[in-house]
Amino acid sequence: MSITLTINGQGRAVEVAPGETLLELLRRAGCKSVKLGCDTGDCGTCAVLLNGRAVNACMLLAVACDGCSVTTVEGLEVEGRLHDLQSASLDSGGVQCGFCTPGMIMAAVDLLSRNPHPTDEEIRAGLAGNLCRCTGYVKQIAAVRMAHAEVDDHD
Amino acid sequence: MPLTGLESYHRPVDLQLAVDLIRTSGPGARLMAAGTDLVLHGGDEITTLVDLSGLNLAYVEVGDTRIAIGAMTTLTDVLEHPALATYLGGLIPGVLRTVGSPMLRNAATLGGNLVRRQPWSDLVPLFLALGATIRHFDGTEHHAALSSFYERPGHRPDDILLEVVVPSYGVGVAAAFEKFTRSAVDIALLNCAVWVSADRGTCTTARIYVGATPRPAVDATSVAGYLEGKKLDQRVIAEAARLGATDVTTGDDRRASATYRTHLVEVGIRRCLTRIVRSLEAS
Amino acid sequence: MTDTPRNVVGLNERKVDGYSLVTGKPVFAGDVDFPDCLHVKFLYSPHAHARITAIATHRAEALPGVAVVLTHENTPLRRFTTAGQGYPEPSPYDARMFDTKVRFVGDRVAAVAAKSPSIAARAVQLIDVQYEALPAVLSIDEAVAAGAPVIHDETDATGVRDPSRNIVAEVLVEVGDPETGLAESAAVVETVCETPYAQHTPLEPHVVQSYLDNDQRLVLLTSTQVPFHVRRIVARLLDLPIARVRVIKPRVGGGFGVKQEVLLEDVAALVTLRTERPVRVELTRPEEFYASRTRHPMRVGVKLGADTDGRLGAVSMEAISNTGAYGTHGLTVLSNAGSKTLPLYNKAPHVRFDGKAVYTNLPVGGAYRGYGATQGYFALETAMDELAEQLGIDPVDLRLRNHIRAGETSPIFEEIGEGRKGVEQTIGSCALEECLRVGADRIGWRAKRGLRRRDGSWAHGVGMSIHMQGSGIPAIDMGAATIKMNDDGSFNLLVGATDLGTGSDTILGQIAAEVLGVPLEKMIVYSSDTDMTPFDVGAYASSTTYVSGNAVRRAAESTRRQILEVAAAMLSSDASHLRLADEQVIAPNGRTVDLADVCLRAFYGTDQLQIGATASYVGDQSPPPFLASFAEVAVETETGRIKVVDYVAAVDCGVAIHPHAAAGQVEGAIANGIGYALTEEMTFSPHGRIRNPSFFDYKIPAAPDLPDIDVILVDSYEPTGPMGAKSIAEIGINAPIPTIANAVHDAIGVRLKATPFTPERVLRALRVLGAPNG
Repeated sequence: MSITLTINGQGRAVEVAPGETLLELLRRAGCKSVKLGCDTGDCGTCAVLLNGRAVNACMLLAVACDGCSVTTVEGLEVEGRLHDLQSASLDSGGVQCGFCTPGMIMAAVDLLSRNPHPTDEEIRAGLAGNLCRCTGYVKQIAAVRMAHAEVDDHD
Repeated sequence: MPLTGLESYHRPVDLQLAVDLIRTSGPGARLMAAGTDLVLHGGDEITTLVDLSGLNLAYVEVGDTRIAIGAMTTLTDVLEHPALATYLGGLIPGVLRTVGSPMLRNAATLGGNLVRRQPWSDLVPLFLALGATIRHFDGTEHHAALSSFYERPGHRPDDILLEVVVPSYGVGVAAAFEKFTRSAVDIALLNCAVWVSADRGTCTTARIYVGATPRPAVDATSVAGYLEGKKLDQRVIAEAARLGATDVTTGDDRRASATYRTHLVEVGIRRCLTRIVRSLEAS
Repeated sequence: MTDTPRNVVGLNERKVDGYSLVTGKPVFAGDVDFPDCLHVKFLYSPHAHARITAIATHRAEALPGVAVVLTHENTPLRRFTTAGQGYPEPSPYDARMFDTKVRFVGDRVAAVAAKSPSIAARAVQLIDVQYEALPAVLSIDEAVAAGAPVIHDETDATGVRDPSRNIVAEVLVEVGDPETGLAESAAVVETVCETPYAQHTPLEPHVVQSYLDNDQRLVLLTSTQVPFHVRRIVARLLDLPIARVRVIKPRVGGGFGVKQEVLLEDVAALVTLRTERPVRVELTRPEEFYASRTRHPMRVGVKLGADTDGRLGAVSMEAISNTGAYGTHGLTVLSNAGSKTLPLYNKAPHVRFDGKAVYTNLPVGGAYRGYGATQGYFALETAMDELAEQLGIDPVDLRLRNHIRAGETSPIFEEIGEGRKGVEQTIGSCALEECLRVGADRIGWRAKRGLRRRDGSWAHGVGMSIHMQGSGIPAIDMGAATIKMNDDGSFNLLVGATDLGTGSDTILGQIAAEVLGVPLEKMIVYSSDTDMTPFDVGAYASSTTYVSGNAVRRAAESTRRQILEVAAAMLSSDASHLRLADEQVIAPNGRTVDLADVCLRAFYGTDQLQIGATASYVGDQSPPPFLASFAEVAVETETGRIKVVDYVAAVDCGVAIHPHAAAGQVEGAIANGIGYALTEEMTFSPHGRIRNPSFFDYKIPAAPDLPDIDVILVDSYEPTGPMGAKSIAEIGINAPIPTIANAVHDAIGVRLKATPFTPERVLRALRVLGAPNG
């Protein structure tokens, strides 16, 4: 089956197998930031934005995403400038092994787009679907805090 | 990828077409909402999927006496809808915040959750307790109580849930929900939803559903019956909770023992009723 | 303490690999697509214990797309250990690639390589195996029972203490006369604690890709903590010259010990050798649980004897460890339950450790952060809390009266080593007193302890515990580093040390940059590749900062000397008068020469040479980091649920090379430990089949499950460490179990002796619920 999809701003026509997940499709299309950590929607390492909302790519059929727009962490850097959440993740020490990082950042992008000034509790709730075994979340939460402060600075 | 048998996928834009597709595509044809559950648990016997996302069933309509929620509305969109923030004290968004992760809620739909009816579903007992009605379509449109939808015998793959409707309630009605989990993002080890209509502190009608027992939600009719006509004081609440623990059958699974679940039935009903009384007193 | 100003060390630099990680570059082992690649799926035993009487693979082999099927009939039969330890490994050689006997549900029976994962999976179903089921051993008690089924009845296993009794290893150490010591103590407590199977769950499952390079050498691109051990073990197993094997470790998505193991590389290698095609082997999340490695479940009993002032006179620990179907890390994890805990209370003249590791027909134990100390500390620090209670002494004061100090030693350091005698050592740095003071203040210990404060249905309490670990395995584990200078004044730092997400590439770069007077950007850090980087045992036993860090320091110092020699000629000065700073060599008269010019001269001027050095380090001791752990918990007495509302960890890791990375190690370890305390347990059916192999049912903490873990890095300086540093990776994981258990006791007055502290267990302890099933 053939579908069209906008991946990180680029329209693409892709062939998909009927049972293929969005996760498999995106990795096949070269978006290796989209990780397979559990394949059951429990870990969040495959989180991407689908029409602006963070979803687990392992839980969606690729064919059902026909006509949708997908953003992965590869699409956040603009003209050599990291997204605030990417910078903040580096500066807060929120990146350890980095395997959960792309999904965590995408979940945080979604969170901040809806709630630009989350409390710590809201940050925790916003990242609830993104498991990390390295950090204890302390510095990842700090990164979101730091990023929304930077958003304010830009205002 | 459990959907290894999948051969065709359709996204019809017409209800009748959707039903026809299901009826003509053989025993392996299934309706699909967001598919989050199907992709994980679907099984290789599924050969055809009919995606309902092209049917304009994602909406929340607020009327004077009711709120209607399209079956394809994502849990996030239900959660964030302003009308539901004030409905019964924000009960529905409060429960939705505990359902899965934000990523799941961004994809999964209310209709999908109610139709898939996983035994641990929080929304099934919640909407049953709220006295939800539904519109569904199998070639003809039907209106029914949600509870009757679950009481139908047999599996109906060609029956499309269109809309879930909750009635508006005035003074003297309150509802509460309680869920017990192992961690923040978890299915219920046990949940219960309680709805009470009262007149000056005396219960006139009650609906109590207990889910994840670990079987699907059951109607705790004896508890509801006991409550009717009683003044909701601490003694009555305690007795209702005890009755629930006695009458609701629980079982063991890898997540919790029957003994613990039975204990939670009591705690859950007591907490819900206590909260309801507080809310009734405040209104 | 030293006052040397630092330019790079001590700064929270951006990770050297950070950019690639936050932008999602394909830097992990599974992120590369090789053309014409084969995919491997395994057939696992459905039996806990059985003999394979027949195996037929022709139907699988006939399936189009299948390249090769591996079983015990066509693979090497020599026994080995999958444990990635130094040679000779202290783990028994009791495993084969594929055996004629299966010893747990999930044991490997066969592997299929096919052109797609789904074909491989289908072919696996077509393998016909006949089993003769054998009685299974599914607990420690069953393993040691008289007449128990013998799990390793083969005659060619080596290094097993007593296979006929399912005993993998025994350790017995006595100092003084513990029995008399206990008998003569004014106060005696005895406690027994149990910890279950748990899994590391790095977010990246195991993955290896193998291929032949243009010279027909075998290349393994693998998610491992131990590239050099992988190379050695695979080469020996498959009878290959080591020269024919290259192991590349790219970025690794977490390990925590589970990747200190050769699990998949042997199969990938053999398929590539047989087919000459690239091969990809990766585990699914369920396979991670049952077919990789786990934490050894243990039952640990501790007896303490003390005088009325709480001064310990005798400490006795008995540990029995379940190593599962194979003895990987069986002896050493057991040993560490004693060797990393007992020296903490070194004042006691009478000390005993009696340990046993036994086989069962359950998943295989392995290395897991904490490495036995986690299990030992649960019992030891629970017993200390009980002793404090019995004597009416504040638990913090009881620790202060007994813990080891700088300048002191413990006989245990020498008595228990890694499968052999240990190494005598004197503590060079210990800021535990300060950790206790700072941590107690921060949690509000004096104000909160013993209050039994209630907040609705929640009962609050505070608890604490103290811990030590080590910095590498002394006299065994060696790390090496190579530095070479480039003609723009930058340096390549090549380390065998294995950054698996800890940030070790960054901190090793900082150490080198500090010595060489350059900013971190001038260090190009590369780890690890057995063709390119010098030997290092790998990332385990909290070795990298201390052992590999010292190797880097030495290599940098040697490089620095060469730079100064060349610069001396350029500045007409004596090398001993020169110093290095700000990317320049500076003479006493103020003349300077840029590092780039030094290297240009070394390359193209006179007396040409490559400036650079390789240096090695092996510790003659293992300086322990220390930790004082405090938690406030709330226990919901109606449901039994425990919430950790505040957590404070005050740690002494010497000088923190990168404070964020050091604190991050502790935060992550504490989080993992909280999970192990509250929810994590692999559970099994009566037939030994795991019941919860998924994140859906094996609950590791998510962000809302945890408090804001407050890690306080207490000032300290380790004289033998690189820049004063000690290692810090493991220690944190030992703390939450006893800390939370002690806090729960403070809150509700009951002692929890088995993890996880589930709501059901809490209610049973409170006698709100009866015994299980009744």
